[in-house]
Amino acid sequence: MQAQHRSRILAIAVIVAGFASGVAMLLPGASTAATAAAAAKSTAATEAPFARVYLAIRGCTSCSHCRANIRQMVRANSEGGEARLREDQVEVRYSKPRAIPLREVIRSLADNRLHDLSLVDVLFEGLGSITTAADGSARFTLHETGQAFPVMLAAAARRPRDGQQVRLVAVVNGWREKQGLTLTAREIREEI
Amino acid sequence: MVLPAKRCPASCPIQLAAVSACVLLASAGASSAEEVEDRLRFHGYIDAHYNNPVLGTMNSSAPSVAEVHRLAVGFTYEFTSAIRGEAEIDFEHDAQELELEYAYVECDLASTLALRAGALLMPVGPLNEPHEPVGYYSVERPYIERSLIPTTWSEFGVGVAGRAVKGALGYRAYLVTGLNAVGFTTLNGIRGGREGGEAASANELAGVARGEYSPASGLALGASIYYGGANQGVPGLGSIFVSILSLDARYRQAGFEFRGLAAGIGVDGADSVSAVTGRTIGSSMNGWSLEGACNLLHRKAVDGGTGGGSVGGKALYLFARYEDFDTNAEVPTGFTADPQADRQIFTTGVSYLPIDKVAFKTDFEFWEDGSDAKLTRFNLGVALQF
Repeated sequence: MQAQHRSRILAIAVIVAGFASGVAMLLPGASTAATAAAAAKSTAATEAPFARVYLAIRGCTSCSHCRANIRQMVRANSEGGEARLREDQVEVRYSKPRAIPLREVIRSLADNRLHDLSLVDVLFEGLGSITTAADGSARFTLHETGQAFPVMLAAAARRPRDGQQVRLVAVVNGWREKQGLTLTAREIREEI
Repeated sequence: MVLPAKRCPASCPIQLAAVSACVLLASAGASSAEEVEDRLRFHGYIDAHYNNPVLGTMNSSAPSVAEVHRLAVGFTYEFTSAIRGEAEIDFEHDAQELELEYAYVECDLASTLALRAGALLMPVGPLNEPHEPVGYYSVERPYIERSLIPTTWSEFGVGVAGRAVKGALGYRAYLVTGLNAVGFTTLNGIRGGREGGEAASANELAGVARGEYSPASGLALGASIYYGGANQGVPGLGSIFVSILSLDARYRQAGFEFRGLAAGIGVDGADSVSAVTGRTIGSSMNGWSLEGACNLLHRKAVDGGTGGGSVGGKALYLFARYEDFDTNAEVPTGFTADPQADRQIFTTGVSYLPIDKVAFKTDFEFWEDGSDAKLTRFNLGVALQF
């Protein structure tokens, strides 16, 4: 009788969980979220988020166990960033202006102990402005946050005027070390 | 009549129906091909072996075999960013045997907490969940995680999976269907009692949990605990309870890696199982293993620091592993322990990864058991995952 009782409890629990999942999928909010996700992709080229971090990873990114771990480890350190897993890459998106916990997001995978997973490269994209100091060094300041990173610009690259709003795509340096993070500009787009 | 726990042949309709239902469920909500492409991801692995001699023998003149041991394919379907369907099936032994690895729905309850329901991989030991062949160095899976911890092991159930302490602590806790004790054997312990979510008998339930904590870079500590009933309504078997405790550790740094595992299993009611099945089932089974590996192609990362890496993603691992386990460590009164259940295995070899998803492996296994039988086995293997 006890066994039967336990069995019923499990069956009920599973059915309730499954039902809850089904209801969640039918709810307008969930449906909207799915539509929004699809819409976001289709308009990604024109409506980029405020900032995003791309983490290029090497190792097991295919099995459900590792993917769930990667997703949760990044989320645990991204302070609200939306984590998306793609083939050998995690994208952490921030839709609205806010300080980006770049070091913590990187550390979430750089210091990971998952089996045979390595962080190999980090790209950062954000909306902000570039200012050049008297000594010629440049800093990228995220829009509306005051958060700034030293940025290296190619000598031949055309520099935007100080304060001009730009979208910067840059390689992140120094994340393997304890020192501060720096950026190397890959692409600078002027924003109107 | 006592029915042994089963592994389905490839034509098993229950599994095929389950997988088909998952695929249909997955594609039902999508409105366009692009949407499906964006939400659906396939994954899988292949694990092909040459064993000389064949596995499961201590006779060195036994024949050698070559086979695609495992060909697994699976998918993830993202209904929304918070609800996913996950499934994987495994065609074993040249696709002669079909095994459901897992099939479940995962719903995020919070950013680092998810509810799972369906056929779940049991969070027992370090290898049962991430069991892809590129992830371990030997051609065969460690034998302690075959004969003691029955990798790959899945059961039907519901539970949670999450992370805490800024991601440093991972945990899973499930309520699942119990084992079926009539499948227990002398040499493979509880392995034959796995229900695998395949029309699993649900008269008995079990609780299982695992925690993994990373206190420092490169170090991971894990612990798993399982307790549950194993009499799935078999007359005359009485009350059977199985308890499992396993502890494991892994340390990776500068191209070196060390792994350790210790596990113990208790079968309360082993006397009854032994009497009903006619096999001597250990009331206590235990074992441990240690492994060391070195990546000869490891190089410090370009910008220095602790990260490190391999040359162009290539890796060449030299490894050695020692396993000692006994599935008849203690037997019920009136039964005699089988000395063949007490095994020590030393495995050493090489695993070469030209890219991180493909491995070519070769190794030697040196076996010895409690009856003083000895065996040397030579293995070749190729593995890939995507």
